[in-house]
Amino acid sequence: MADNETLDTEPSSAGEDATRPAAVMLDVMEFIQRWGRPLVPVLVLPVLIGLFTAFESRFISITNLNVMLTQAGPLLMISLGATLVVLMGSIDLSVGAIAALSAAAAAVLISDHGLGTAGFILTIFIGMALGGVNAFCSILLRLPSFIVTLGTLSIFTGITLHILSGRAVFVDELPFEWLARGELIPDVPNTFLAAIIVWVLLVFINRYTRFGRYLVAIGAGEPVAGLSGVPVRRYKTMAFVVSGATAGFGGAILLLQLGSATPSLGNQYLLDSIAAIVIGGTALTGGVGGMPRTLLGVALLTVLSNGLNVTGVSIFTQDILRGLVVILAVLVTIDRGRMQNLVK
Amino acid sequence: MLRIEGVTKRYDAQLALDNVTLSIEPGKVTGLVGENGAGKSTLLNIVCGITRPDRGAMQLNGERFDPHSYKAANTLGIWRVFQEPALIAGIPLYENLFLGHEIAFTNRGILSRTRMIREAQRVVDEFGIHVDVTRLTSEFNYSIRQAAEAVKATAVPDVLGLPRTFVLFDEPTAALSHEEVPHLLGLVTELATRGLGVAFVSHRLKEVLEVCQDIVVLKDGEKVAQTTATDTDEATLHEFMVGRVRHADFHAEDRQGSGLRERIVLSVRSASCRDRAQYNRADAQKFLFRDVTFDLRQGEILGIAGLLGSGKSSLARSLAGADRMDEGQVTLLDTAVPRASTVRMKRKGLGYLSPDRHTDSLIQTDSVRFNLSLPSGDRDEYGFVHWGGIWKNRLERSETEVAIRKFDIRATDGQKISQVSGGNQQKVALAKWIRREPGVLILENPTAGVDVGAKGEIYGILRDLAETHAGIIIVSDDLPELIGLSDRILVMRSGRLVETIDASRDNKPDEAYVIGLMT
Repeated sequence: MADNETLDTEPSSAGEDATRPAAVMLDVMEFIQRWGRPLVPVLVLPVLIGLFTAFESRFISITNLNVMLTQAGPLLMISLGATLVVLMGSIDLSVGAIAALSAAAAAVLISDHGLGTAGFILTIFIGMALGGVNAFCSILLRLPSFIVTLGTLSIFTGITLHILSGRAVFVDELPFEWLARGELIPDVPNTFLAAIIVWVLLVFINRYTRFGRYLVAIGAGEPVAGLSGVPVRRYKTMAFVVSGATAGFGGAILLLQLGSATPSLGNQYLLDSIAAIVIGGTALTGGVGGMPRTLLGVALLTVLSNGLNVTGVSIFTQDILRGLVVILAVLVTIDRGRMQNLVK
Repeated sequence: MLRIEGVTKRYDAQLALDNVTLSIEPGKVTGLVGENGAGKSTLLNIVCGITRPDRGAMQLNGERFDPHSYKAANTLGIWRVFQEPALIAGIPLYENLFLGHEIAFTNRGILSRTRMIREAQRVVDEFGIHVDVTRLTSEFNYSIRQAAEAVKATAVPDVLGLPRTFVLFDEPTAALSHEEVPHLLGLVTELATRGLGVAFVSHRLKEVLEVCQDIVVLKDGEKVAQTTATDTDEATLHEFMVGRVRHADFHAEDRQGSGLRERIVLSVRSASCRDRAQYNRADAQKFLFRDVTFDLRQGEILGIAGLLGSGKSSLARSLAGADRMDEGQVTLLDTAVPRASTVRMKRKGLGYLSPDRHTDSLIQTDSVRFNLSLPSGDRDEYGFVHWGGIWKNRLERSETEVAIRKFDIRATDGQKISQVSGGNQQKVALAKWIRREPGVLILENPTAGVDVGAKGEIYGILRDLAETHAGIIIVSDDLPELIGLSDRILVMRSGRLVETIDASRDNKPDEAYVIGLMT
């Protein structure tokens, strides 16, 4: 060990705890942490599906599966870019707000200015610009991403309210109607298909490109990446911009599904996107996780919300259960040794 | 008496302590000496409850002693003076002195700050450092913070009414100025004459021989010798520490200078850097290094020696582009580099290895091949990317195989770095730069925490590199290594280059001579 190792040796990491008496519980925890981190969500998903089916057989009906996929599409889309940001050790709390702002801007452009298809495509660029704002504040101004995106979350929401003048804007003639209602594959909504295509693209980027590798490197050891001559700030900026882009596109999908942009469009997605990422097992400390886990997290979250609905659990209880699942998920997936690095 | 029996501690693949048994007696100063990575700090961490041993036991005055935190060790009378002052920067000094023991100043739940400040001021004055304890800790310079650390371990227990039977000093003089050292050594001796047991960890053998009665030598986690100050001398201790006298074969000195060319690969002219650290705001004119000028030739190994805080490490980081330099011209491989960054320096042919493998030079949670390819993400002859940024995974595998064979790295390409031993980790870190055929390679403590066998191999690798094309700068605390490898040694003191020593094959300087220039 290096000689300068003094107080920074974490005195109570899990491994050492296990040697203490009355630490059987911690032994189990350690086992789960070592082997169960990627596995637990995979095991929980069939258990949940089985449970809900036992209570209400309509849960696995084609109609309900279709409903679930419709719900999962926007959430998956919005969580994808945010996963990249979490993977590099930062956090993006503003994705829901970016989705709302993009949808609002598109709705106004389409209905009031007759922009049509262009307005729809524009959501992606609006999202990228908003992601750029996050990148500018957190990277060039050197502020923690948690604070920056907490701030921009509020700013973007405010701008959305201005654009919509505080009310819902309906879009009668939607371009891409086929994307909103169509099913290229029977019983799979095109919106979900679009999210899956972007997911496949990002799985590839994450695993087989320089961008994906460098994000993992930055998340796992930013000083190492920096001293190895990796342009850290460039790749961090790119991650925030991609996060904005998928959030913007997610907003467009929501606009298509709902036929209107409302001020509260993105509210649910702030917590759900982070929850999906974390439940899947991507560590908030960065460097561990990825796209497949987020897909898993989205699946779990969707099954849970929909299942609780179908089985008739009260909405109030649903919130409690969802919160418990998030806590339980983090309990098994978090690496306690690196807790102090949480959210750079 | 504090007795340590058969203590073993392993960190991943590295054995930090291997079955160490020793005792520290009251009324005596026991010296613990050893190289970087010998296990001295780990041993102290275990004694004062910060780390727990994997195996082994401790006894304090005949009773089982198993502290689970530093505070628990405190209440049993064990105190430590930390090497890097473990003080919180943003709170007043008096709060740091009594940190964790505020209960002693609390009456029915109300904390009496006036009493805390009064007591803190008294002990600090008695110690001989006259500072205002209500000022923020960050406003004090390093030596005052180091002194405060000593006050915390020596005077505070009395104020709190806690026992104080053993005090552990961890490299207390490493960053002190020449004048401050005798004062601290005096304190160490005084504690022992008052009947306390003292453990004294230091690299500086002269100090150890001066203040200690018993001396224990650690090497690669093992106790290799136990002796008394009267029975030994500096040379013998040194031999125990490194397990050898500095000898020419180990550093492949017969190959020294064979690659030396006239061409200058790195030239540095009047480089300076101000100290921006917040605790030095009081004397803002302080420089990390100032007016440094030197040339590095192709095929040359240039050593930089200096104490902690001499500016040698800051200079290395600035040259690598990791820290900003305020003034000076740097010319790397015939091109001037006005604004260095790690990205730019890398592209122009410079490699840099930080002394801290764990946090700075390798991604511990990823594989050998991931680390090997990390610097090479450009589309050049060393790069691993196709058009569009797509990674050449197959090339990465085959290149890793090549490096594993070439550098005899005992690991597989997909193995997680944290599961690879220190020496092999360092070879991976070296390989990631050497495969890029750098014109200049800057290394800090390249063999810290590396076993002797791997050390010899690393020296061989560096000789190969110098013979082929590169100029190498080695910044090291390990003097035998520095003297054995270098063609020339620059000595830094208080941020300035004070001497250039010739260290050619037949003209190796004496270690004591270099130490003399450093202090």
